[in-house]
Order: sequence, then C-alpha cells, then structure tokens
Amino acid sequence: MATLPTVPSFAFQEVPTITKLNQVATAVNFVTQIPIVISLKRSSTQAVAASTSVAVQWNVDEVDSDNMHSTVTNPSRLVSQTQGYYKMHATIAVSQTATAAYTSMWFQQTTGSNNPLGSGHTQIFGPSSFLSNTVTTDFRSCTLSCITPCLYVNDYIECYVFSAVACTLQFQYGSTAFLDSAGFPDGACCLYGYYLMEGP
Amino acid sequence: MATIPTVPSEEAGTISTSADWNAWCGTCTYLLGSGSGKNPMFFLMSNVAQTWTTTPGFCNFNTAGAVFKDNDGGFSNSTPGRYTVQTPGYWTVDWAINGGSSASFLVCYLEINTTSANLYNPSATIKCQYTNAAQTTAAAYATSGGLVPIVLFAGDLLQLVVQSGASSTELTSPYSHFTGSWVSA
Repeated sequence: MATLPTVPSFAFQEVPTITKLNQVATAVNFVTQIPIVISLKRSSTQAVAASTSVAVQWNVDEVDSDNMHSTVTNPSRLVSQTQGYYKMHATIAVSQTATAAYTSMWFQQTTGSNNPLGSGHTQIFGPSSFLSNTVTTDFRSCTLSCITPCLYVNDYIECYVFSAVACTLQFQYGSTAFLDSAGFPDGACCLYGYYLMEGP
Repeated sequence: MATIPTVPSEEAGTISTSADWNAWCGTCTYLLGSGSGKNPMFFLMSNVAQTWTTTPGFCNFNTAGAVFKDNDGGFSNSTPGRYTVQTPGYWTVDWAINGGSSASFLVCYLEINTTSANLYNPSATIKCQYTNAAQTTAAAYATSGGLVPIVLFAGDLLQLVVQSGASSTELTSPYSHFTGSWVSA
C-alpha cells in the first residue's frame, strides 16, 4: 500500500523543521513520480465461450508497484491497495470468429469491505463493443479508457469480455511474438493504469 | 473554479517565507487532491435510458447517476448535456455511450463550444474524437476520448453528441458516462 503524503502547512514566521521540509519533499516526490503504476498482460491465448461474460486472466505482471495483482490468486483482479481515483486503459484483441458477432468489453468494479456501500456491489464502467470478423488471421482489437469510480482499499477492478460466438483472446498481434527487451509480450491483451488522485 | 497553484522561486541569500513553503504545499495538495478547489476532474453518468435518433443530440447526465464526481462545479442538472470548464488548461476526456440495440449504427463525438474569452479559439465550435459502433440486438457502446485538442478557458463547453442510424434506447446498465480531468495549465 502506498502512503499518501502528509502535506504540512507553515505558520507566519515559523522556522521549518526538518520533519516538515521532508514532508514537502515526500509530497513533491509523490506528485512527480506517481508510485502506483500497473501494467498487466497475457502471454498466452484465452478462450471465451459463446454468450458468456469472461474475466480476462492476467498472467504477466510487467509493472505492479502497489502489489495490486497476483498471477496466482484471482489473476483477473486488480485489487486497490490505496484509496483514490485511477486512470485505466485496457486493450483486448480477439481472433476471427465463425460469424461476425457482437463483442463487448468493460471494466467492472466490485466493492470491498472498506467501501461505504459495503462488500459485493458491482459497477460497470468504460464499456466498448464491436463486431468481430471472419477473416482468418485478422484480429480485431478494442481499447477501453476511463477514470475509475473512487476505489477503496480492497475494491477490485476486472476487465470482462463477452462475445455472441466463441472466440479467443490473442496475446500477440502477429503470428510471431514481438517481445520487448525485458521479454514481455507485445500487449495485444494488456491493462495499464496509474493512480490519479486521492478520493473520494 | 480551482486556482492553479503558483510555484515559488527562491533567490540566494533570501530566507524562504512561510508563504513560499505553503505555496509548495499548495501545489502538492492541488495535484493530489480531488476535493473542491483541487485538481479538477469529473465522472458524469446518466440515470435514465436515453433514446438516440437519426438527429444528432446531446447525451445527458445527472448528479443522481450511479457514479457522480465533479470537484470543480462544471456540471449542473439544469444543463445536463454539458460540462462547463471552470479551470483553464489542457484537459483529457473519455466516454462510453450506451447505444441500445438496433440494426444500424451509433456515432458519437465530442463537441467543444468555446466562448469569446478563449484566447486561441474564440467563439468556435469544434467537433472531434469521432467514434462509431455497430448496433445489434445487444447493447452497442461507442467509446472514445483522449486529450482535448485545444486549450480550454473558463466557460467553454464540453458536450457529447450522439446519433443513431435508427431510433434506439439505452439498454441495461451501465448508462452512458463521461469522465475528464485537468492535465496542465
């Protein structure tokens, strides 16, 4: 969990203490080097059954500076460790399908015990939709981008996919993977996010 | 309207005053905070199923939407189709329009209406960030956004224009929503 900085105030003619000056330094560091950044990807395909809402299972943590994600336990979830608003982006690529079919994607917030609404409430946001196509090797991708509702500690975000016919989530755009210098997949299926500001 | 903080500068041999230090603190608080007067942002959501037609129309929002956040007083239920910029600068926006279902298409774009006070684009109507979605029997969502392409000034309007190839009504939740945040002075 990131510690939100304490921003001090100074009275007239007050001599700043080291403690207060360091609080200012910490705050400046926080706003200029946002300590909460997330980058998740997939390194393999994922099947999506027809007419079923499926949460994307992120199995690669490229960056996870606030320990929001596990590739082992509930890998679809991005669990808030620090209360506030986040900016989220996700890109999903879908293989060709048997017929051109309605496909949609969305973010879903599920509240945890610290949320004033109580646990287990869901809120969908940032959805997008398109028609898949039938051309072999022609993938269609879609990007979601949105500010989240305020996330309280233990609220979690998932990215869901729905397709009217069975499809496969792709993890690379071409037949050959393009790995970055660190060996991570090329991001055909990825989720990025960062902390925007404290809330509510 | 949020007051964009002024970062003080110091000179050799000058003892920093409490005002200087508080200015530093104010800058941090502004960038960190989502309260009134802090870094402006909004999350607007409809609370009723709207009907889209072949005539372009504004998407309306309401403070009673499932999610509502507006820390800069840019939104009012009395003018539900607009966000009025209070704090000048560069902004970024994103939206998702629930298009309902039909056998047609859904189009949405951002319309910016500036006032005469906008120094670089006075009294202009700018349409940008078009997106469209194919409608089917399921809910179509038109999603777009990004950096607003002009510098905005207080009083400028941000509005989402929606048009459908055939009449359609928003389906199940989530209703259409519109988010934005101030990026830079």
